[in-house]
Amino acid sequence: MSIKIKNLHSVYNEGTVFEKKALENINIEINNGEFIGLIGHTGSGKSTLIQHLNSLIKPTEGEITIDGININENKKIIKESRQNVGLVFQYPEHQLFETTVYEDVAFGAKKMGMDKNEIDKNVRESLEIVGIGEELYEKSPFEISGGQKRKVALAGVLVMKPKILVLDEPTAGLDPKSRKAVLENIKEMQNKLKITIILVSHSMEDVAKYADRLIVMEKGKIVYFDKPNEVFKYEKRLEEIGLAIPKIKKLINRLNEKGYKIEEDINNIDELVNYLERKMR
Amino acid sequence: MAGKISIGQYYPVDSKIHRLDPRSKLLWVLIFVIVLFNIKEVSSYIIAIVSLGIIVKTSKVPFLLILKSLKHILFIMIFTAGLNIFLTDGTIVLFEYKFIQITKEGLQFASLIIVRLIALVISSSLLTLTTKPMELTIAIEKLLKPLKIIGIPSHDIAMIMTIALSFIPTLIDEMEKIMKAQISRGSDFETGTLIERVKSLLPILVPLFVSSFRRADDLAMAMESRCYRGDINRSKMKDIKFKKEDYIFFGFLFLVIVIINIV
Repeated sequence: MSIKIKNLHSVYNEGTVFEKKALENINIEINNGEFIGLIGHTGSGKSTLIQHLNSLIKPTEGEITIDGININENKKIIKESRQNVGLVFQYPEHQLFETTVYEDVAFGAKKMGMDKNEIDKNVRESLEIVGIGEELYEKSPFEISGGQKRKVALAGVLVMKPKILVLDEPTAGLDPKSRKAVLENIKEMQNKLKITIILVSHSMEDVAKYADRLIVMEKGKIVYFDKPNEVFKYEKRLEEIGLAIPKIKKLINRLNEKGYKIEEDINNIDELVNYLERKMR
Repeated sequence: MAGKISIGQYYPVDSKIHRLDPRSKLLWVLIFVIVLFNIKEVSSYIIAIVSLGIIVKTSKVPFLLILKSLKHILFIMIFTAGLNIFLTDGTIVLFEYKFIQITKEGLQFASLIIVRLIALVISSSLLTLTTKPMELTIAIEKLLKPLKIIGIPSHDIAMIMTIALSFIPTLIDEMEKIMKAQISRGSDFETGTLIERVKSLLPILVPLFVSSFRRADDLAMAMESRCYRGDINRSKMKDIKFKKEDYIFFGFLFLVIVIINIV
């Protein structure tokens, strides 16, 4: 499914002393099946933007269409679009409440009005995707480990079979190993389910490797919206915003400044060594 | 979203009343209420109301804002007034219809009750309008201190109040977040029968309870690891002291009470 955001403005507490512009003139087009990295510093408006995709915040001005349908048209469409766009909040494990893992994952499917067989099928599928085994199905979501809780919460969104999956800092508070596992898992999921993914993060290092395109936000505005390698060319400006580009890209930029003209897409140090060896020969 | 909801109703201006020691204000409300319920003469009422008026004027809090606090007790006011009008026996009957009887004494008594209630609410809301919640907890702690002899832990009570107050904004934020997450998963808090709506609160309340316990646990751990031991040898960053203004204030209060007793 494709997303189109046109002239979106968002103002908090409009007309009061607490009025605050959260988003200004946002224009985005996201194609079906794309992996988008949404990057910005704390308070840049990323969370506000993604909440618009689920009608949790209504636009002050502008329009959001998914596959050509305005998502705020009426209540029925809002509900449908909430099913189509799965939103995984920061620390999603805080939303667990049911008595068993299975029941908690099934909650969303039940609310969407699926029938019993469909619910069962979807629950099993989504728990399998995130890597939760059947032995945990009947456990309380409060007695499993932190990492497992997050996986269960993620499955709780996947169960609705969203065509677009939006994840707000899914790796926050995880150790490096789990971070990588989660991100790999998301990428794999995208390949398998052919869905559109929007990954919110404040770390370039995390998203650079997986995203097809990056959206960089600052103070409620979009600064860049381009392929990662294009965005990384603006190293200075990004640092002003408070974002660091991946170390390897930094190194390549330095080398290019020295006259090396590295054009290839290089993502880790081994690739760079190989490349330089080939070139030096 | 923080900052949207202010805790208590503190009205931030600088006035003589704002600068008073919170203990003075607390004691004033206490004394004022006791006086209010002990006077019977109309003239005494007038003096009490005038003294209240002077304090309200000095506090620089807009009168309309104070009147707003009366909105909450409107029903109680009407109810008590009604009861008093119809149920007070008297000698001078103004209106009679079958068993309903309105007497002059009844009307008099009802209006006094209303004045009493209004003064009561205005004085107590003035306290919270001019005193920060934290100041109030310090005042309560200090005023309750003498009761330590009979085993009332004044410091602990104040600490509990402080912590509870500081957790309110955190919990509101948390609740908002959880609500949004559950709405994304298809929860609907607006439509459905009453039972359905109460049921739909469960996905919010359970996570909220879990997280409050987690936060309480963390806080207890943090306090213990910083050697918190109650009020043993504990000093305050913002201490409160009786100043000249407080003595003047009490002088004024004393004067009012004397006048009420003379008249």
